[in-house]
Amino acid sequence: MTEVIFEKVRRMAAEVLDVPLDTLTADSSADTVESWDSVQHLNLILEVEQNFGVQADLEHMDQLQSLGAIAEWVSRRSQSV
Amino acid sequence: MNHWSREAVKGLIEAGSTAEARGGLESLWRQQASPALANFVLQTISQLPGPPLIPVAVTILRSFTVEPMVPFLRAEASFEGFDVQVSVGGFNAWQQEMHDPQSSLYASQPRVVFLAVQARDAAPGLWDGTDFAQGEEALSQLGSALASFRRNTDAALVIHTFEQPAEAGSGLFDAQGEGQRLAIQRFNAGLLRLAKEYSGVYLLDYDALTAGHGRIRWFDAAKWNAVRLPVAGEFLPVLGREWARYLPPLMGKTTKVVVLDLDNTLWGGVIGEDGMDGIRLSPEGPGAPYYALQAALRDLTRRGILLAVASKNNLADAVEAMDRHPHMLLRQSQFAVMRINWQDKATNLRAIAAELNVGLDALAFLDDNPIERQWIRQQLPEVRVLELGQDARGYAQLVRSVGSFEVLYLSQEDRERGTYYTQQRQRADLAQAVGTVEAYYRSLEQVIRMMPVREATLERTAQLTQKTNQFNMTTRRYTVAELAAAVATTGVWAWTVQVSDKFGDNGIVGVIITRERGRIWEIDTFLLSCRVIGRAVETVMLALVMEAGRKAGAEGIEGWFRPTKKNTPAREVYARHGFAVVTEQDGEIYWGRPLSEALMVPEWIRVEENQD
Repeated sequence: MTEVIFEKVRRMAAEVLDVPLDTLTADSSADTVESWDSVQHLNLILEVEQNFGVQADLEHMDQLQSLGAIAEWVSRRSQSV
Repeated sequence: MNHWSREAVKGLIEAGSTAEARGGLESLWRQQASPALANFVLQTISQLPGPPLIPVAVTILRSFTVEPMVPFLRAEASFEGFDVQVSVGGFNAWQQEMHDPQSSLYASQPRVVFLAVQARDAAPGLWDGTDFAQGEEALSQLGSALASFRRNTDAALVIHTFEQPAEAGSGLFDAQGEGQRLAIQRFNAGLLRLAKEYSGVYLLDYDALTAGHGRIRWFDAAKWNAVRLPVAGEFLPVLGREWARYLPPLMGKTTKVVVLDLDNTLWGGVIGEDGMDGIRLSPEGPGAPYYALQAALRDLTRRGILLAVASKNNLADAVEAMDRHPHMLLRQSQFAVMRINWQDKATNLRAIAAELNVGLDALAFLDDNPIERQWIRQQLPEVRVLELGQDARGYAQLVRSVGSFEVLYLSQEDRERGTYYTQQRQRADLAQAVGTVEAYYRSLEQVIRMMPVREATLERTAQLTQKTNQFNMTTRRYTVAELAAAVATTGVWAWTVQVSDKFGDNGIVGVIITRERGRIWEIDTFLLSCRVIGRAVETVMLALVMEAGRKAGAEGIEGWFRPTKKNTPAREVYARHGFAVVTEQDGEIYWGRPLSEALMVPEWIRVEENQD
């Protein structure tokens, strides 16, 4: 399940950040991707929220720093629903 | 196709079916706009048929996070024909930026500025109901910022109204007297008064926008607390679209004629098969979506947009439905042109544009049939084709959301445009009856009135410079603010021309602007609405300007003819009036003539000069 979600998150990130898909891994973050600034971080969260129908709250916004962390958060949220 | 995907759009582009891909992209965007899809739209749209994108510099001054709306604004604007470059101001720095002539706001030379400020930030006491007087303070701050803005730039300014909170601080009591809601309403009314003091300043009713979608749903507390974003994710595209809708009217790129299909567009069913009693059109029931579309189209006619029909039908069937159906809101007389025949629709659209004297880029096309839409996109990429989709229930809403159907200013001429075209038909009938051209002119009994441009005619004058393409010597576009600045300059003379005849008043239909250069008057702008081309109005305008120049001590009059794709009707004007070529540059011709000899004005035109 998490694998599938991670793959979707990765594709969204590639489009939002405008980078090739194969450059992104679970560890990709603002530190490793040049175009990943605070604005694009917000855009990525909004993209993920819209596609998975989830809502990030304040503490999550700070924790969701890598693609892996975002995918994990989404899969936890989808399971708990 | 009902459900579009990026892959389907990409596949069509690779297969060369770009017209179909554009329709797919527009549907996809309306179904699932998102930040990633916005990027996809911006990367894709230049490969698809449509008018070339016009670059526009936009600045958003703000008190809250607007960055996530920017991709939505840019994608929406690209569908409206604009390539928008966005600058965003600092948080709550809008006052400094507007006051400081050195600020990055003015350095970036925007054409359009949005002032996205909310009561939460600019008047917190008004927002939480603890101090209503803060509304007055905010108004006076805005007033002085506005004065600085106008001193420093001619850009258009669009100001957000303050939204009402979902709950008033004093609960039910608020509605019982001088409450918080009333104070916010007063602020917004004051904002409107302020905007009206300046040209080129407009309001965006942010309060109505949030209320329309539900104030509680619009606000996302988590995002507000985390990143100062007060708008929930699902409404980011809504705000982006609302901004984008201001661009066509501000940039003078609006639709003049909406061309409609009949069967399954203006009514449900096929008139030739189902007959008058079989087609679906009614205020309630299965005909309601078509009735709603007709109501939306009728609203467009009140903004000065003309309607036309291009439909494959038997003329008699269609006309019977239009004139006899009990629920038709749009009768035959409301259409400026009807092309009901079995010719292909691109041919009919060209004929409609020619008959109404407008360019193809002034047409929008509504047809439920995807094949017809693709055909028009392929054949006439300048035409705005609306992606109607399969469900008629969305048609009216779609028509109401199109930016190029928007106006920010309505002249008397706009309101009565439908009537003007009816009068035009009567004039054409008269021309056929009278025979020779001169006898026709005489029988028209024209009266021409030339007046200096003033406050009351500034908007209409700017509108004419924005919209006139055919009889236009230099095609210089002026915003209201730019025009106001030009008119206030010493040595600049600007006149409008009003034409009336036995069939009625055409309103203001011509503009001529000259600039003094030593002993020469140079014609900066000289244009005439297509409604009065070929009636010697231009001769009267030149004669009067030459007379004014001579009185002011000028010795010659000169002016450029700058050719465009559309202004051939203006090409020979200077030659016909005794001008000689002074110089030529890259296909542009500079004409001139001495003022020693006056121009003859045809004696069958009555001239009323009003110098105020």
